Amino acid sequence: MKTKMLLAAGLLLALLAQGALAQTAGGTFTFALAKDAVNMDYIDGDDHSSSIIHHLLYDQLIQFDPVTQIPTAELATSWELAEDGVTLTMHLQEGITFHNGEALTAEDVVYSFDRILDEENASPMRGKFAEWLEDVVAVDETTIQIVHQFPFAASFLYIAELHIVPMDLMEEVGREAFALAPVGSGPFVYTEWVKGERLVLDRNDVYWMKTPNLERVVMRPIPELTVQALELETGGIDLMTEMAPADYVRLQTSDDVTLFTASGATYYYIAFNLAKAPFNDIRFRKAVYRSVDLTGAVGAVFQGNTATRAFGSLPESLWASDYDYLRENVALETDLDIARDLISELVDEGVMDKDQEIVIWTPTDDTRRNLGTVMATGMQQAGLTVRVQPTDWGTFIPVLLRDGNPEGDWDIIVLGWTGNSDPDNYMFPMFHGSNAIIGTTSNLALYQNDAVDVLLDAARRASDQSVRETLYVEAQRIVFASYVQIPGFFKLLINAAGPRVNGYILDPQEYVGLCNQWTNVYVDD
Amino acid sequence: MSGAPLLGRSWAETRKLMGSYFVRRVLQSLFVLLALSLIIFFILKAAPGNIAQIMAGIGAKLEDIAALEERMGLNSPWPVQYWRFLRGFFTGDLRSAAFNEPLLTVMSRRLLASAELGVVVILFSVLLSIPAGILSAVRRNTIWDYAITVFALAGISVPVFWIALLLMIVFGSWLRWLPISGRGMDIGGLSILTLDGWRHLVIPALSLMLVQMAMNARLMRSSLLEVLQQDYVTTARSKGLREVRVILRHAVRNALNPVLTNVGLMTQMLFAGAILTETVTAWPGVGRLVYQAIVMRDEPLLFGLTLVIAIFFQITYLAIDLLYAYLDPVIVYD
Repeated sequence: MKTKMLLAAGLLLALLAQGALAQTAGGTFTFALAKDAVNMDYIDGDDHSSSIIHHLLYDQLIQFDPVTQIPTAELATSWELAEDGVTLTMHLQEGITFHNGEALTAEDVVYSFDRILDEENASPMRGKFAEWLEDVVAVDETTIQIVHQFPFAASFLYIAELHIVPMDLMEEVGREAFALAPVGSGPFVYTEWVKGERLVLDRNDVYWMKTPNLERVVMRPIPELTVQALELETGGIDLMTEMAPADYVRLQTSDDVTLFTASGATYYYIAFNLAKAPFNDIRFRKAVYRSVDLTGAVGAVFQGNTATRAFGSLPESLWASDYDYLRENVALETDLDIARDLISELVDEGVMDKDQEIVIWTPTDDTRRNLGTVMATGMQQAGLTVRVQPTDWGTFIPVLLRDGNPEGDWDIIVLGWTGNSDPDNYMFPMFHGSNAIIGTTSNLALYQNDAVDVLLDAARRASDQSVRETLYVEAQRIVFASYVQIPGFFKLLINAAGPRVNGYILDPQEYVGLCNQWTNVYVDD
Repeated sequence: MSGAPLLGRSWAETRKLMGSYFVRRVLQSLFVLLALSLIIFFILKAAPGNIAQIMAGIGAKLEDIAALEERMGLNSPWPVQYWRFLRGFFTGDLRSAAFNEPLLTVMSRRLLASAELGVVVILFSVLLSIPAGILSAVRRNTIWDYAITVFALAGISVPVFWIALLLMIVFGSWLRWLPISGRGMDIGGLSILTLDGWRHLVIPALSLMLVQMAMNARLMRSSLLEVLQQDYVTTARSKGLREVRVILRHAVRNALNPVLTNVGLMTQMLFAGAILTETVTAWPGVGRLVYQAIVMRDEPLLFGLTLVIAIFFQITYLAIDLLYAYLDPVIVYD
């Protein structure tokens, strides 16, 4: 009897194992990006496409849970913050190796931070770490200390972005050669990159976390989203990370395609140039706000609810978002009469000319250009002379930087700000006085308010989330009641997967997670 | 005198004339290229924005942008930078600022891909449009003529990227006969050596061909009609030569001039106009590379690409001029 049960159990186990083995059989996963990656090393930049690849090649100390948005262990298994709130001690996983077989130790972690901070390296990533990071020290082989300049709860966001690179290899071959044959410790290994055609990664068979199911991952740069959708439907690719509203509506009825959605992390907004009249007059800004039915326009332009109106800079779902209050008490109802009255007032007082041409600068992508057009149309109805100026990015940046003209050549801009899971990132760069300097690319309006500065400084230093929330709420109420920005909208983050794909989980931070703490994606064959 | 027997002078004479012409043309080209390189450099430098600002991204601090500009050599005096570009172009040391790779590495595959597409488009559109044009002229005002004319009109009117999308939907999505986008497998950089390569070529090539065929067919038709009025055609007919021989051996040969000129223009259009097709079909060619380089303000890459394309044009024009001389002895180069 016992033997029979053992045999049955054994058979069952064998069958299950076979099933598991069949799952890890391999296969190639192909996904498309509208823009090709630019670099293979974080030190050179973190544009969206490159970041996606970085997250497949490298590991980080922590990662954010895609559902709860709580920092979760990765290379660091545990951590403690000292009483002073400034020293964060992190304990590293043992036995981790890079793709070239070298061991990953505290030394590599320290090196990875130092190289970003080192001014000699001229990394565009330096600023965002240098702002709060004092030093990173290796206590022993598996322990590091991250020393802050001041207590800063949001530091986890930046720590989660820092990819760990092999120090010995980097020192040996140099930064440029490394970028051509990058080596990380992540789930996938760099194989080849034919620019404009494909970027190929292969399974890291000895990945410390778990063996990735996928044998190969291919990224194909396909500029047109409609073409990506066609490829997805015909099996040419397995995943899309961005979607045009029309395709989203169409694919909702498709049996083959699975859609994943989450609220997006990019805040689209309209900002006024506070260095010039009449934009520095709150009456003008209010007039503009009242002349456009932005909520209606957003609904019309973004079919299928692919965008939701914003009333502040924080995504509605983020803690400290003051959505309801801002919508009820700060947002202004469309009222062309009031708008026209305010404008007449300004004209009568000589603050502005009746026929003064106002230029709205936007980048060339549809989203922001459409928002600019919507604004212009409304403003024209209120009697203003308005022109939209879509500008290519390279030309746009010097204008934003106020190159050659401290007053700034622009009147109104439409822009986006991509933040991450902490309110600090959606508030401090855009509204803190320390960023109100010529040459800033975050506080473009040059907004400066002492009360807000005090609140934002306190909020980033506090450790208690409810305290921080109170401070951020108060700061938002001041900032948005000044109408320095008109909040536009947040786009819906949409990913679409083909029928072969199993186990894919959408990451609100917009990375493509194929093998991590929460999932191990596999494809049917 | 128009259209005497095809080679009206001795072979040796022709060779000598063409030889010195050739040398002079090459020297001219070099001068043109040098002047072009200076013009390009000034345009690149005068344009607002630079790659460091773009790579640093929104939210970067001003001092980080400045440090990156310094590191990328953007602060050197212009003559120094120009010399660096020019010398680097010829020694092969010049690196793309965005990709941090030597220009040749970045460009070679893309040039080959564009060349492949270009050659296929030119070859097939010429092979198809010349007979169509001849047929249209010879069978003037018949159903053949009308059909070809309508087709030509459609080809010229419809935007190339729209045709591409339509082909993708019909042949890629509905019929599943062809892959949607991208370039196929290649052997040694040439995808025309594989079946997969040809399958990927169909949609981009067809999209570009339709416009070209339309124009060439019309050109061939009108040029041939004009030639058929000429005296020497009447002479040939009165000599008792068969009509087919008259048309093909004599008339067409002389009517090809404008079509050849158009082929030269076609190669131009293929580089500039192809960027739309390349973007829609995700064809990894030079057009899209140029566009990306402009967006990124990748000055070394743009400098190198422009010169390479210019060299290519110079060679093409030279080849066409030599072809003229071969085909029409009236054209004498002195």
